Formats: sequence, structure tokens, C-alpha cells
Amino acid sequence: MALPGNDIHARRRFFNRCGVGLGSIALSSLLDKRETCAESQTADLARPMIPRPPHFAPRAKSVICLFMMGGPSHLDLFDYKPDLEKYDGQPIPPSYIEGERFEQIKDMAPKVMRGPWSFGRYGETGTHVSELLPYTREIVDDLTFVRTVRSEETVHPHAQLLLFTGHRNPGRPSLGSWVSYGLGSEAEDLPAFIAFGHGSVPQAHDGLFSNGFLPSTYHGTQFRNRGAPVLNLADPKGVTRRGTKRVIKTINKLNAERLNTVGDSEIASRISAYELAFRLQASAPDLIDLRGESQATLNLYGADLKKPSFALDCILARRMVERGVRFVQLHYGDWDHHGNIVNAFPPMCRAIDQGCAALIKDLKARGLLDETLVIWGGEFGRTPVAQPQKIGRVGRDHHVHAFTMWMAGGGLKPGTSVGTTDDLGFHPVEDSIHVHDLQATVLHLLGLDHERLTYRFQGRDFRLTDVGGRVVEKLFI
Amino acid sequence: MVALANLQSGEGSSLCRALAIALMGTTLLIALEANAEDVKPAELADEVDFARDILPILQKRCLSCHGDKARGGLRLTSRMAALEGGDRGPTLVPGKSGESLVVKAVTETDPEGLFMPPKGTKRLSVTEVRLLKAWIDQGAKWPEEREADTATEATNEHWAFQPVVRPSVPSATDTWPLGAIDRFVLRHLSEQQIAPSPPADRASLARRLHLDLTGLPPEPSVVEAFIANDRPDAYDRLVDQLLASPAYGERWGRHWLDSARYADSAGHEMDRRRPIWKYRDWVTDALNRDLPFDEFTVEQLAGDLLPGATRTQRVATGFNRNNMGTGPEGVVDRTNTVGRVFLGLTIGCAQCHSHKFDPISQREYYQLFAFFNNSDDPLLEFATAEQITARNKVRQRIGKAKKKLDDHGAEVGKGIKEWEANLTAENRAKLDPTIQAILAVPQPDRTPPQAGNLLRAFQEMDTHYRELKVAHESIAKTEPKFDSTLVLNEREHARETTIFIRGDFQSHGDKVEPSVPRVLPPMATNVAAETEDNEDKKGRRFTRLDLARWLVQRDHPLTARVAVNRIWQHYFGLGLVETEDDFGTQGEPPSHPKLLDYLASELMETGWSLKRLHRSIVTSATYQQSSKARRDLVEIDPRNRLLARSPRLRLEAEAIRDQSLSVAGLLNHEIGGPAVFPYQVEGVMDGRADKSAWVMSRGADLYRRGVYIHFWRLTPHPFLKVFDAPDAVESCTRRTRSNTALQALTMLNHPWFVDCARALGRRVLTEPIAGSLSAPDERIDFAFRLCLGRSPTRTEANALKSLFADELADVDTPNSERELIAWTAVARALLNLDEFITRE
Repeated sequence: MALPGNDIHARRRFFNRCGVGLGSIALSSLLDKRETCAESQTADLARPMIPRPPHFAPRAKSVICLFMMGGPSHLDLFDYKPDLEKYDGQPIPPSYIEGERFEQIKDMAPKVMRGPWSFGRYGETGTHVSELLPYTREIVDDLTFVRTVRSEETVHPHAQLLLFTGHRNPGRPSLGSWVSYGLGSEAEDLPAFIAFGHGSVPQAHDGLFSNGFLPSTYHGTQFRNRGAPVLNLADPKGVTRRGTKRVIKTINKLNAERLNTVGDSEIASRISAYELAFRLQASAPDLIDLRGESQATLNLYGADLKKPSFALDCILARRMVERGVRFVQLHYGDWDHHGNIVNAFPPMCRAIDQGCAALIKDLKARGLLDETLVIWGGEFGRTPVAQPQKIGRVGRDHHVHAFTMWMAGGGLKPGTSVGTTDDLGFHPVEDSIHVHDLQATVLHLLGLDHERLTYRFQGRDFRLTDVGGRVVEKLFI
Repeated sequence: MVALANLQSGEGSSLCRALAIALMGTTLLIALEANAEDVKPAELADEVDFARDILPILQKRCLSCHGDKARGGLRLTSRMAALEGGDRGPTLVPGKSGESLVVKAVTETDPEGLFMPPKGTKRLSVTEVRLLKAWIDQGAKWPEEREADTATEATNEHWAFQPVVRPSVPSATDTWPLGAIDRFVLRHLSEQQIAPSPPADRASLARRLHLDLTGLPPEPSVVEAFIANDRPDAYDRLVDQLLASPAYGERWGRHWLDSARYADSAGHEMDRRRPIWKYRDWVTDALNRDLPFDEFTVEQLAGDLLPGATRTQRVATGFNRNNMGTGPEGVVDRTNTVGRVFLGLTIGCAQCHSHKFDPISQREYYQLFAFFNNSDDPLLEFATAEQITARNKVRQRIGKAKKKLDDHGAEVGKGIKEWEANLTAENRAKLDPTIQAILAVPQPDRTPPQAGNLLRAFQEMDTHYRELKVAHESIAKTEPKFDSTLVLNEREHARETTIFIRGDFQSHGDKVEPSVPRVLPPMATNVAAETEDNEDKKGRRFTRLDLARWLVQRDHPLTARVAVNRIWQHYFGLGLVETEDDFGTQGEPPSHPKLLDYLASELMETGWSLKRLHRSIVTSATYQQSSKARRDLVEIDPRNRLLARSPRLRLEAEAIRDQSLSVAGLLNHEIGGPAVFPYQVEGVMDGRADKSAWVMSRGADLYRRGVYIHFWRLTPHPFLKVFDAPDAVESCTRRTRSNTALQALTMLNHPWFVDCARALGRRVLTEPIAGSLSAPDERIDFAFRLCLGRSPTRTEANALKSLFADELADVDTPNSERELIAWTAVARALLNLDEFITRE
């Protein structure tokens, strides 16, 4: 769209130095104290989404996070433990559960529970995969497994927040927000950080993609399943797109006039914001319009355009990354199988299996997998012991000591796994990897040093990994 | 600590010495190899003094890695940290040097083993090793004042900890300064040879003043009258009038509620509703009646402890009930909030370890914590004792009816299995479809809610059960409901407070009593002792009331400075101390220290009147300057710290809404009461457990001010979030001001603003206006003045006129509606202007 005031950009440079927003103040105060940041973070938060160079050469440019809400059972999918079969129905040795407080199991001597499903070894790497994931088998050689992810929180919202924001309580920025704060946006017409999904709503709600104390620019934009894809995207009833364009044009003309008179760079930012808003009105519907996807692609994902599904969401995720979205966070669940796991678990696996595998294949075929980091996992895993139910069948309780996530692309060593759990899959025996380590690793792959990516708030420099976090270099090529 | 005491005396101790001597041989050997300097065994006969003997060793040999860097997870900066140890476990076993890792490390001979200080650096001397061992054997005494490791003597000299001394006001040297504030400002400006900006024009000034003091825009007639009024006191009278407006309390109350982390729900997974709007109304009312800030402070922190506390004073303690966390987390939050809101210090840092930069030890943190660790969290009901008794009687009857219902239900329920077994296909088909669906699930696979629903359906087939149910429901309806609000109550018997080791509330350290940090003045009075005649009650435990009164003692260096700085910040974008939440050594020093102290002492010495403070700021020439950017300041003062102009500030979320409703003529000015639920876009509240969380308000309640919008912590209204309203998780003392595309979309398309644009369009179309009714120019001028308080320039007017004309030409509807649609488009443009959502 043609907008008045072509000299705005030149003027903006001048005015940017003239009056600045709060954000840049926070950043500049940080720069004074941390000369290490100076070489890379010269960001001017009057234009908060301008692409910024990372701390060091990145391995990945964007992230797709396939978040399995509720905590899928790692023991029934990837972490194969023959001993569960052997000791099925027997009380777990007390040494395993000394000091353990399960989330729901009250039994002091809970019983080991076998997985009802068989495992096979697949790919050249011979990786164990459950029979419930026939499609995932095909891509195991592209995946990097972390079998010993460790959380601290046994309750959903706290564990979800810890995973995404590094802290158990709400109020901190999430991973995607930190990433867009650190790197800005590569997307011309779309937000840098998008969150969406269907099924249940995360128990931590918006906390999972919240900007926390960062400026609200860095809040993950939620793509919705109902109505327009972005809140307030649709023109008001009775107003045409033509009409909106005329209004925006007038607004920006008047704003440019005011900028001329008072010289506040905020006005220049506001003009850009309205330009982006207008573009977003076209680009967001275009993004979610999947009619242009070939039948072959739809078949690959097993997706039906008429039926909302995880598979369709995976196609959307790929389209976002293609358009330069930096951080895509896809929520799917509910994996919270406290009871009736035998019946409730397989449909969940079916719902995600083909989509996950197709996403990896599709990204690879399009040459995007190298620069895209895909992460799959939940906020915790599930117990090797059974959780009995008063009514109905047993399930597994929350398990935080060691659980499996997989990652792919983005500079990771494919076909490997890191970390080993004990014979019952209860505790880590090698390479326990805290969620802070995982966060540090993701930032590292994007070229960001988790100790240098900080924001001063309430008198303190905060970071995603709080006071922890080690980069797991073993995972890298 | 008990174990330690045992070791220090008697046999334990001598046993340890024997062990130490036995170990000496190996040590000596290494030491001789490495270094044979200054062996003075005689000294060891004496007790080792930590400060003299040990601290220098730590400083020279250990702290470069095991200080802030915490190599191997180990900090040797306090006794607790050393006991806690690092990745390899505890460093010290007091009384047992032979079992202490630190001794092993400094005496290790294998450079590949645990060898400290590391390979390539100088070993500890024999004396040093012996001192270290002796110190451990003597119990590893580590005097507490040495714990605040980085907080040295120098930090006590930090400006913010010095008393507020009223500075003399610089003499007037110019015609510009109107009052004291201006003279302080001018002094800094003249040093840089900068001239202040000219005053803003009358129209801008009127709008600025209205928005700042009330959060609402002036009516065009008010602006016109102000411009026309040539009395010298016209401005002062406008100020007085606005300060007297009840909207002032709503506006400044909202600022305070940010600090108070106010919300209408509890947060966390269930995010339950919280009855606490009475506290919100208390804040509005307290500000409107200009309750002095010292009393404002005392009533909120300890209103319940005031002698003869009134109900209103108890309502004020709701301040302490806005925390999200519960149990010890809630107490932590209350402590940190007082630190941030009143002291302007990051005392929360000392929760896990002594503050790294400010002189606040971990012990002192828990001494503050102790003030708050002694309360119950009741609900204050607005009912008389008689009303409560009557209600309890009704409750008993409800309970009886419920029991009858349940007993009978249990009896009936016994037959469910048999019933299900004998259910014919024909009878089954007559059942409710949801019940049929449950019956289709095999019994063991039914979820608890499914089983429950089935049981209820079965029970309700019984006639008597249904009768009992109706009886219970009708009596339950008669239970009287009263307004209520969350308050604080002091417990009869104090809870014991201990230090939480590393902030973990399950690891208890030393026991502590309520007290205030040593770097600040002591508490002047012990209220408890004062109010008791009884001699032996003297020296009794300090309470929250003592703490609250201490905060507003005249010699307290922080409270008044922090308070005036926050108020200043709302007018100038940044405080005189930019780090409004950190007056500690890591914060920024004040830009105008004397002005800050002048304002602080004025506040304290003139009865802590906030209205008086507001008046003195807004009547200053500094405040009244134009907000236009100046090229001459770009290099010298890009961030306007010298105050050579007024800032342009984007309005807060609530003010944007209020202003839009106001210019549209929709605003409902009603003050106070329960929160309201204005229009919410479908789908936003999806996924909440409580499906009735957002039942839209009706009628005029849709158009209440933003401060009254129900704030769900888990799912705040998206409009509020998009415009940077705080999340109420912790206290917020300064909002960010972002500028985003989602804000643009919100202003363009959110139903609230679409509503406002229509109403404003209609207002512009129908308002009787002097002048030619047919000419759109007059109406554009009116609309512009309505929204921005000024007339448009020719360019601006032309832009709107051509929008109006294009719209008219484009719209495909009957004549009568065309004009309204075109005016609505003009209104939509105006509501979206940067200037509209900005205070200039």
C-alpha cells in the first residue's frame, strides 16, 4: 500500500536519537554494564523487531516447537525398558522412590507397570520406537533424542511455565519472546513469534507465550481456531477492506503531519505499526489458507482440509517458517493419562504421528531442516509405576526425573541420543539434562548466549535460564 | 547449629584437635615443598579470628573463582554458602577439619585430583592451612556482618541511605522559574547552557492537565472557556477543580493498584474469583479525600492493628492480600512488595543469599519477612453480628436438607448396578442421549465424571429424591449474601520465623525475630510496648504496625523519596531516579538530587498531602513546557533527563479506553462497586475451567472506566495486555510503553472501539453546531476538538475532509445512513491517531 511521507525513514533515523522509548533505555543501561553485549546487541527498541545479529554464528534460524501438553509417556513411546515387563505388577524397589512425592499416586509401594505396546528397532541407527508411532519410525535417523530431560515441577502449569519461561510462576518471558527480543524478526508481514494449536488449552494459558516483563511487542501472537486467525484482524462489520485502507491512509497521513510538528520518533514507530497491521490483515489469512497446498503434501501429512487436525497445524507451522517466522509454538494435547492409558493413549499417538514425521520430511525436502530446529516433547514424562483408579483402568502419573524429548534439524547430530535412564526409566544414570540446559541449548543453536541475553527488570538482570543452564554440546554436529 | 555447639565444647573439640594434629604431617610436607614462609605456631594457640585470619585467605586464594563466579557451584561468601557447598557437596564440616572438603582440597598432592588453588597457582602456606584447620575445628565461626560480602562500608554511605535534608532553594536568577521546582531544574539547565522550552499552548495544557490528573479528556467547551479565561489564576483554578474531581482518585488509584498487584482473581490453575474490589474502592476514596500518605501507608500495611481499627482501615489491609502465591510464597511476596513499593529496594535478592550489592543480609531479609509471617487471611464480611447469626441458622438448615438428600441418594444409588443390568433396549432409548453415551462405555472405562453423571441421573428417577432435591435447592436460595473483601489479621501467637537456606522454605536456618535492616534508621517506637501498661510487655515483639510506622518516620531516608519519585515519573515519563524500583547501589543516581530531597521533605513536612504534591508539580513552569522535540537537545540530552521540555507519553491502556468512551459520549462515570465485564471477543476465555468467567455486563455497565474491568490473572482482557497493563503477578512500579501492530489492529477493529467510532460519528453528525450545518468543515473541527482538544491545521482538516468525501462516494446505502457511515470512518481515523492516545 502506498503511504504518504516517503521521507519518514530518513527522519526516523534522526528522531530515533531524539526521543526514545522505555525499552531502549533498559537496553542501553544494560549495554553500559555489559560490554560483551555491545558487539551484537545494538538494538534500538524504538524499532524492536528489526533483525539483530546474534552473539555468535547460529546453527538454526527458526524454531518449531511441538509441545505435547499434559506429558506423554516416554516409556510407551521411545524409552524402551524390558524390565517393566519383567517386574510388571511388583512393587517398585523402595530405593527408587525414596523421598519421592508423586503428584497423584498415594500408594506407598506403587507397582511397576509394563507398557501394553511392543517396541521395534528402526532406521540405520536401530532406534527403539513404539508400535504406536509407525510414521515416526521412518524418520528416526533424522532425530536427536534427549532421554534424560529433567524438570522440577510435578504440576502442569508450573512445569509448563518452567519449560517455557525458566520459572515455575507466571510473569517471566517465554523462550519465543526471548528469542524475538534477542534476534528481532525476519518476517516482513508476520509476527516473529506465533503460538497456536488445538485440543485443550494449556493449563498455564498465555503464560506459555507471554512476554513477561519484556515489552509487549515480544508477546507471542496467538493464532486462533475460531474467527479471524489473529484477534481483531477482521474489518468491523459493514466496513470494506477498501474502507479500512482509506482510514489507515488518513491515519498515517495525519500521524506523519504530527511527526513533522512535534518530532517524536514514537510517531514514526506508530506509522510502521499501522503499515504492518494492514499487511497482516492480508498475510495472516493468506498464511492459513491451505488451498494452495498440493494433494501430495496433504497426503504426506495425512491432512484433510476440511477437518482441523494436528497434521494441518504442522503444515501451518512449515508455512510460518517459510515466511520468516522466527519461533513457532504448536500446542497439542491432552496427554495427561492418569487413567485408562490403554485406551486413551493410542488415539493421541495416531493424531500426531504422521504429522510429525511429515513435517520433518517436508522441511528436509524443501531444504529448510538445516536451518529449522524442531523440538518435540511435553512438560514432563510419566511414571514407570501404575496409578490405580477407583473407577476405571490404571494410568501413569507425572514423572519429572527423566523423560524423553526429540529434536531435529538446526545443527543437531541426527540419529543420536543423549542420556540414559535406569532399567525402569525412573532416574537418569547418565547426562541428566535440566530444562534450563535445554533452553540454553536452544538459544545457543540460534546463536544466543543464554548468560548474555538479559533484561533488566526490577533492579535485576533476568535471563531465561535463571541461574542455571548448560549448553549440551554433545547434541551438535 | 545445636550439633555445632556440642562440638565446640568438651570432648568433641579435643577429639577434633587430635585428628587435626594427626593430619598435620602430610600437610606440612606439601607446605614445605610449596612454601615455607612465616610459620608462627605460637599464634595458633589463640582462637582463630575469622576477619583477621581467615577472610584474607579466602579473599586472596578462593574468592576469585568461588565468589560471584561460583565455579563448581561453590561460593565461599558466607558461612551458609560454604556449608551448603557446591557440586561436590558441603565444603566445611564445622569442628571436623579432617572431614572438610576444603582442607582436602588445599592439602591434595595429586594435581589431577581435587587440587586447590588450581594447578599453576601458589599453594597455601603451612600457616594458612593450619589457620584454616584450626578455624574449622573451632567451629568455623563466621560473624554475620561479614556475610553481606560485597556490601562494604562504602555502601552504607550510598546516597539513598542518608537522611532527607531539606535543601535550600536556589535563588531566582531569571524570570522563567515560577517556583521552587523550576529553580532546581533551571540550575541544572543553566550549567549546560540550555534554555527551557516555551510553555505549551493553552489548549495542549488543558488536555495534558485533564489526562494527567483524571485520565479523561476535557470537553471542547471546557478548553474554550480556559483559553478565554484571562484571570491570572485561571490555571490554578483548573488544577484545583481537577484535583477535586472524583476521577482523580480513579486515575491515580489505578497507578497505585499497579504497585499493589491488584487483580480480581487468585491466579494459578483455577484462577478463582477474589472478592477484593472493596480494597480498590478504598484506594480511590483514600486518594480523593487526600488521606495523608503516611496514614495511607500505615492503614494498608497494618490497618488491622491500629487501636480501635475501623472497618475501613481493615479494608485497607487488602493491600497485603493481592499476592498470588500462598503459604511461605505469599509471605515472600508481601515482603518483597513492601521492599519494592515503599523502600524502592530489591530486597527480594536477599531471599536466597545476602544481597550482592546492597547492605541487606539474608538474615535481615527474614527479619522483615517475620513481620508478615504472623497473619491470618480472613474474609471481612459487610454484615452485623445479628446478620451473621441469622445466616448461620439458615446454613444449618441447608446442611440438614443436604444430608437428607445425600442419605436418600446413597440408599437409592445402591440399586444402580442391578438397574443397569436389567435395562432393556427400549428403556435405554428413552434416556437422555448423554446418559446413553455413558452407558455405552464399558463400566471399568468410565471416567469419574461419567460415573457421577450416571449415578445422578439414576437417583433422579426416584420421586422422593427429586422432592428432597427441590427442597434443598429452595432453602439454599434463602442464604443471605453479603459484600465481602479480603483483609489481614494478626495472629494471637506469632509463627516462628527462620532463615530459609537458599530460599528453600523447607530448609530452616537460624531463628529470627522481626526487625529492620541495620543500614536504615532503627524503629523509633515499639508500639506493642507503648500501648501496654504492663511493664513486662516491654521489649515485646515488633509488629507490622511498628514496621508501617517506621516506614513513615521523619528520619526514614527512603519512603518519601520513593513516593515522590513515582509520582514525578507519571508526569515526566522517567523518575528523577530513573530506576524507580531500585534506590540501591545498582540503581541510577538521581538526576536532580536536591529537587528529589526538596520534594520528599515537602511531602513529609506538610502533612504528607499528595494533592499538595501534585499541585506543586503541575503548577511548575517545568511541567507546563511544550513537549515538542528540540534539535538542540538531540545530542546533549536525548532522553530529556534535564527536563528542558515536557515529554510526550502514550496513555495507559485504561486511559485509552476511558478517553475513547468519553469523546464518544458513552462513558459511564459511576464510581466503584464490583468489577464489570465489557464486551469480550468470542474464544478468548476458552479453556478456562469456569465457563461463566465472562458473563457480559449489561447496559451502562458496558461503558464503565477501565479500572473496573474484571481482571482475571490467568486470562486478562486482551486489550489490557496489548497496551502493557501489568499482569498483577508481582508489583509493577512502571509500565512499559510498547508500540505494536496488534495495538493498531485493536484500535482499528476491536468491538469497543468500533462502538466508540459509531457513537462518535453519530455525535459529530447530530450535535447542534453553530455555523453552517451543511459544511463538513465545522463538524470536522468539532470532532477534532473533541478528540484532541485543538482545531486541526489545514492539512489535517483536508485529509479528514477527503476521507469523508471518499467514504460518502463509496458507500452504497440510502442517503440517511451514508453520512453516518462517512462520519464513522472519520471518527475511526481520529480514535487511531497517535496524538489521540498520547498525552502531549
